[in-house]
Amino acid sequence: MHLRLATVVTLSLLFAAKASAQSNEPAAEPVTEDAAWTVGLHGLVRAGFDSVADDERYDFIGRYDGFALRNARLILDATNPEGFSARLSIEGATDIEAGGTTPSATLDARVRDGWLSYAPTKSLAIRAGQFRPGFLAESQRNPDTYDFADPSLLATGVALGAGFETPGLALDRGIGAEVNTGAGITAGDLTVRIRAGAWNGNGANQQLNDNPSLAYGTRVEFAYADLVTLGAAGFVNARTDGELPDRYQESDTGTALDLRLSAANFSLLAQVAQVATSYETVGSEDRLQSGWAAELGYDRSFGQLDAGLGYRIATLDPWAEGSATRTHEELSEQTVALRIGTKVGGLPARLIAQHTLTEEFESRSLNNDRTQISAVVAF
Amino acid sequence: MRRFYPLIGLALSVAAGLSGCSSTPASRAQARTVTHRDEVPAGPRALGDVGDLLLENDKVRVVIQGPGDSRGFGVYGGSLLDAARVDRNQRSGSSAGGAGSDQFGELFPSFFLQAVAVDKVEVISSGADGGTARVRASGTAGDFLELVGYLNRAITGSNERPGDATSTPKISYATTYELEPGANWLRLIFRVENISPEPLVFPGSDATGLLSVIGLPTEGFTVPLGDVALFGATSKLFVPGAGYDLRSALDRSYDAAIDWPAFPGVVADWVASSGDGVSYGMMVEGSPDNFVIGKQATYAPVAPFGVTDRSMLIPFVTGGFTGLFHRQAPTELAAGDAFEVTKYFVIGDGDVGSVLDTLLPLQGVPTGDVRGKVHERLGSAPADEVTVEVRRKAGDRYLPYGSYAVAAGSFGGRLPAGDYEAVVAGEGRPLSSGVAFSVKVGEASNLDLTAEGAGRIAVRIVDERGQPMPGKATAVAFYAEEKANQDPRTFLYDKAAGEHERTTDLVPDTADPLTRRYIETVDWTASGQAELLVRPGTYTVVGSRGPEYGIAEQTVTVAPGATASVTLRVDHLVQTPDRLAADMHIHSIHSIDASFPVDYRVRSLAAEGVEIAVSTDHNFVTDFGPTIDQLGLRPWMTSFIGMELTTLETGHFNGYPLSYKTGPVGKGAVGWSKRTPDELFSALRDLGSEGSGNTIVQVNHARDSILGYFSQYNRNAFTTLPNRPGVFDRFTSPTGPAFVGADGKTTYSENFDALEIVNGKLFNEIRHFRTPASFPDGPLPADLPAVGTVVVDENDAAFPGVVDDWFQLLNLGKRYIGVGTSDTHSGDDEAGYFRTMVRVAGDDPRTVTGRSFVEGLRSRDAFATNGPMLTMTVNGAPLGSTLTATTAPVEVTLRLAAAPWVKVARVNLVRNGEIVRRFAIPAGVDLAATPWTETVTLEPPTDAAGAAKDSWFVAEAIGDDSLFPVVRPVGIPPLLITDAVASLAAPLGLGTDEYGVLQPALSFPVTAYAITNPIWVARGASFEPPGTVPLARQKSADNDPGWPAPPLVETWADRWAAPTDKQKALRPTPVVSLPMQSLFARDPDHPADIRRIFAAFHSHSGHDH
Repeated sequence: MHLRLATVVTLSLLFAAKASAQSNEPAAEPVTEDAAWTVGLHGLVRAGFDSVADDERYDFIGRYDGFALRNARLILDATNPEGFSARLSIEGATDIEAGGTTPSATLDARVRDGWLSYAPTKSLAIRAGQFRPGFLAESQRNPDTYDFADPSLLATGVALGAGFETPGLALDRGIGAEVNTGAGITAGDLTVRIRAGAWNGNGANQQLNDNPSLAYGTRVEFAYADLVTLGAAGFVNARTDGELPDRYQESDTGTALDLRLSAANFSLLAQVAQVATSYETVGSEDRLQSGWAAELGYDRSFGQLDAGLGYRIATLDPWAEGSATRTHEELSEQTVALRIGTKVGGLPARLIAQHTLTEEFESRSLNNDRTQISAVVAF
Repeated sequence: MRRFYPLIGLALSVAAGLSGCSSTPASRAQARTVTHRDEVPAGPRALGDVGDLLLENDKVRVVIQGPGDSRGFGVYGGSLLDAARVDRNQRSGSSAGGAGSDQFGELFPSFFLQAVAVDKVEVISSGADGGTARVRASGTAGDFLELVGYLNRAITGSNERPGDATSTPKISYATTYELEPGANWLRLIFRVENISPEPLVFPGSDATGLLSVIGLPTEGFTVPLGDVALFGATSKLFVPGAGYDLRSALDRSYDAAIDWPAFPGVVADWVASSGDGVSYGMMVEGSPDNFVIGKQATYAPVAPFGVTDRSMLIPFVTGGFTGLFHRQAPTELAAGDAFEVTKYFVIGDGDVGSVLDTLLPLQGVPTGDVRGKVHERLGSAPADEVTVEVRRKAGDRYLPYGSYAVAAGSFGGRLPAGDYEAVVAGEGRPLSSGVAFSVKVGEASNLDLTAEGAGRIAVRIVDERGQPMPGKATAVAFYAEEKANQDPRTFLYDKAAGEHERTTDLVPDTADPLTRRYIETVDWTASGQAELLVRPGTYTVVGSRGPEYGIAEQTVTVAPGATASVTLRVDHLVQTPDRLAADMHIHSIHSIDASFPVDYRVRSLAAEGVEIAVSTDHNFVTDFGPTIDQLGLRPWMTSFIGMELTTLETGHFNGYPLSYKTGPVGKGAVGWSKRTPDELFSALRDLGSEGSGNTIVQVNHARDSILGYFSQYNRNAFTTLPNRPGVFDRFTSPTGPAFVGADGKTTYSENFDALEIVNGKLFNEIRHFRTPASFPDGPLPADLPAVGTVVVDENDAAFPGVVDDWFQLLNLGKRYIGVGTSDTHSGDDEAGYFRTMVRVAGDDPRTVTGRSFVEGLRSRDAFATNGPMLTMTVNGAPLGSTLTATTAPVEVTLRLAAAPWVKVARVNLVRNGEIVRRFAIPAGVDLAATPWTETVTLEPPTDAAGAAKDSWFVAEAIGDDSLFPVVRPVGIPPLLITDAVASLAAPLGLGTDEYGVLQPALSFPVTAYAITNPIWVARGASFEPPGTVPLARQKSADNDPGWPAPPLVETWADRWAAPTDKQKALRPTPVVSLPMQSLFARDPDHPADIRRIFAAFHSHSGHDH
């Protein structure tokens, strides 16, 4: 069923891309034997300081205030005129523990992106390797363009040390393949961008699939000029949890909608997403995780200096439908951020200071507001 | 953190953010029904499931099982099933369960020995108001053991008619589990309410009559209430005064004269456990109705730290069960009245100290602090993986009182004011010298302790080509001559301080050091690289790999902190073509009474040369397959999935090969309560992976008293028929639906396939016990049976053996497959001893399928062994064959091979249950290089009238010499529930000891034994069963197989040289004259005998509990 859906989507994309290419793109240049590769080395370093209020009852909340290395990423891009490209990015600040950063975890280097792509036209590309599937809008950004010191509660949940660890709804990277429309299919001021792909669905840096089922997903964006972008995404993933011999079949179905507005130095990103999980092996009742996030920003340039203010509100409910005996367990966060950007020695740099107010469902109420500072330099 | 409001403006938000602080909300506790697995704790003992009740707060999470059959080891739901700390590093749960490490088995209350048949579990207070969360489990009287159902109902008056469990209940029971916000403890309030229109008296009038009949005064007898706590084998039980050695403390209490109406046991104000990441503790609220203080005069002299109104009596601990009596019922309870008992269950973070930190304030005991650092003696680095054992001064002695885990060299906690000393313990480390200190209320005592260095021996086990292979490494040492014949617990190790037992060879000590050997430690390796952590000294390191291999030895001396390396070449000496070594009774951490994680278990199996391993955890389905893959052991072994369907009273039954069901908590385990054997057998077959028709149902340790199928169904050991009920049956027979059908007939079923004829180290249950030629010191019956004859109680064997049962079943045409298994639970009862050498196609475990394994067993071309490789043919036909149309004399050929460390003294050829030939095996012959063979020609047997009969042949090989150190002797026999009953039954006056020292030994070196499956010889086209052997011939010394006598040495081991589970129950009663018949005529092995009620609820002897 999923395979058939993916085939239809892929063929549709190919058809649309071909039509677009025929109407908008010049004919592809003939392949030349001496086509040269362009190799670029990029990267970013993002570091900061976190301070979480000390909860009176949990000695693991708020007791790990201090500096944090959020990213130390090296990116190698290679492209050639024939439309081939490749990316390898290594993250040197990977918490090798699964999930959020833990106080006792050791940072290690891990592959983030590792993919090959072929784009016969500007509006059609096929790539394979490890990449992040398109789902949440905010997950499509690189860390050096973050408007806040950390991703939203909706995307990454609550990290250990900042509260009871709770996973967010962002999709992890995976190994697979996708067809996308590259820069998009443009008709006047309207641009359509589509990604559709299949991947293993068992997380990043996993050599093989953990079951015979692939995950499938797609993301579609409609953009009008640079003012409005409306996005929608969905995925299905038949996962296998646990270790042998206890392999549990579970299926996730995720949907997301987002809206981005940008005008007169103001920007708005609103997202709503949910992931429904069914537990085929155990037969537990289905679970629905849902949440939403909205962030409003105002940014101005003062000569070499860019300054901005941001406000973000996000919610996440790990048990959105509750049950006869289980109440909602909604978490909420509000964040205000002050950000300053400039160039340091010709390299773009940004400093963000923010404070987050948290709210937990009643029976797990915590004293865990946090203040964070983040600095990033990209090269 | 606090309620806030949506966006009210950026500036305002900034201001709010920068000033954001708030009052702290109260911590919450909540009670709710579990709706998803990730809400319940995970861990090796986790059994919580959707539909159970969850109590949780910021510190702990506990699961109360819903109504129904217990998912744990008890009988009923409503018990405390899981308990774990809220793990600071907890991750999100999954279908398997939530985060955390539950290691708790089960906790349920008891009124005398009566449990609660819980029919309702409900949330009383959800905790949503910020207060205490409450769950209540309620019901009426239920039989924990049907055997004592009548007695229980008579004593508690719980039902209208004591003899009828379904008669109108007169008592209702309820346990309210309370969890307060922020507490790491649970309050349990057990309520007993008279729901009858009449007042109740305790003990009930029926019990008073019963006690009068047996001549016991009821004056002073108060009915105790308590709990049964299953801490599980992964939790080490700690009791103040006894430390981790409750076993010895209980022995001492059983030896003490505790007279009716009190019961022997250990007295303490609390109990606690230590474990990996979680520990548990129990205490009771002070009460003038405390059971112990009510008998203060009796218990004060034996209570090391005195008796208080919160003291508890621990009458037994066995198989993971710990009994706790702490309250006495009022003598009368008016209609509608109730009384309550309040208890506390504490959840610590892994050590006893963390439990004490909570428990002592709950008791209102003023405390001070003890803090300390522990440094390595070598190098002065902070010590890790050690514990600090604290001993409190009691009189002129220091007795165990606390135990602290040391993390990064630091430890600390609360202690009552007093004088103490501290020692540092650790694996392979000598105990440090005691450091004295005092604790004063409100003050801190600071200690600086030193951990002695451990020695390490790296052992490489290789085959003839030098390739590493799975194997076992054993470090053996000698103790000094001046310690000869002393109790090794007094000088060789300190179990109270948490040190493991060092098993000695049980050879009478002489000047020869070879008579004073002990095993320091053992390791099993899958890869060929073993590690032995040893106390510094000189060791003989022994490499082995089961009975098909030789052993290799090398002596090394290890200094503190040093590593010695040895390489041992272990040769494959005994070839067993087309046969694989199968062990069909294996426990892992998924059994309540076993502690080995699955990877340890699989390593131990491979190291002992087991090639087909069948996992058989108690009521839990385990799959070794993935672990075998992960350890790279596929060339060496394979596995099949099985389960030991474990009932409390009707027996233990293995089923295999089974399917593994990932989803259910028990992975496919089925319920057993109130189900007949036929229903249980069918349930096992329904789980079969090869179909129900290809599933083996195996009866385990059938003579293991309360856990033995034959014993519980009162089967006569000579006739296999049920014994005639005795006078006591009315009171102590199990009469529930599991035992008695709707038609009033027994539910005993013959529909099983295999019979476990030899099990681990249950040597006392292999052959009927016969009068030995010599005895340890002690009383003997007046009418001592002749040497070599079966010791008989009325018309049954007094101490029956399963092999003899099997012989008579064969005589009746019941062709049960005879199998040998280890029933291994830990490292002390080695995997693969016994094992079944079964013929399958090829000699490669990888080629065996579930179907071919079953077919191999059904062919009966198999023998059971713990060393000797004994095979037989009749007229050239292999084991399991049936020769038809054979009227001429038959030619029986026996073949015996054995590795040099396996000594065989004799071989018996058995025909139709009688020994027809005896063969002495010459000493000094290398049976691996030159197997012994013998061929005899036998005329067909005849009946009394001289007519020829059909026949079957079995051969057995018996050794006299110990298999030490490859197979450990049984030094300290496991504590049996017998001992529990001993503690209860003896004061009841039922302890007349009929046999004195005329009993099989429970403490003995393990010797070689092997027995084949039969070959049948029929005169016609089919086999005509010859019928059972007449009683006189069965009993006769002519049929004595020549079982080795245990060494009659005057050592500490003598204390266990004679007692059986039966006798231990009787030990407190002085043995005077010994009539062979007791006051009440009874049928041995029948549950009617209260002396057997708990006898061997146990532990199938080799179990290390």
